[in-house]
Amino acid sequence: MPVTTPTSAVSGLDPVQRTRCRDRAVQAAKVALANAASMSYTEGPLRWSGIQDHRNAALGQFPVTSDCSSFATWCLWNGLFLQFGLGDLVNADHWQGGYTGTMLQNGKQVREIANVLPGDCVIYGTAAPGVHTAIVTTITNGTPYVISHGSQAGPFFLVYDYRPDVLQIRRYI
Amino acid sequence: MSPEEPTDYADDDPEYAGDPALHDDAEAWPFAAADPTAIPPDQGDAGVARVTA
Repeated sequence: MPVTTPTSAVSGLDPVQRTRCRDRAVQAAKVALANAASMSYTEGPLRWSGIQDHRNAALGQFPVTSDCSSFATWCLWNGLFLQFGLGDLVNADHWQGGYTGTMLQNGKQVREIANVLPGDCVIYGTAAPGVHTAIVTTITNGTPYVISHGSQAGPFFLVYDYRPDVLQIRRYI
Repeated sequence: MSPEEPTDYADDDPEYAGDPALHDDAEAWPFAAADPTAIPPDQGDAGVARVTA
């Protein structure tokens, strides 16, 4: 029987590629966190500037203006698009838009906390379309931690259930 | 779940479960977690405000 490399049903990447993709998405969030003082939270069209301006975290770049979903999308774009040239698996909007509602409509849900991996996104709210999202960056003793950009003071590194309204955790890699 | 059934959830696929290389890497993480009670409230997703306006 031939040996086949399992590919992700979400992204089509193989396991090695997925690890690299997750690492790249986490690196992006980490670069942003390290530059929090230079980032602004915005609800205007400039929230997509990170992708529009091709801000590459591998070069130490970060989005100067974003909101929660455009920030999480930018992190994933660093891995999915910049590293592997993949289309918009997060919002299905050509990497040009989206929000928690489209994030809920794409990717696949991770139901068990034990299966959560860096690069997954936590979506908060009491019901669809959700109200906030953050990207998982590390798992400590089985507990996911996220980087969340939800206010002008952010981003922040927080335990994933820092707010009580965890709606879903979804995977796009 | 049988192999013929579609996988609707990421964690239905056993290849995803518990990848040790990606878990418990706290030693390599340089940031301390913030106190949730000490941060400003999240302002909400701008896109949600737009579609529900």
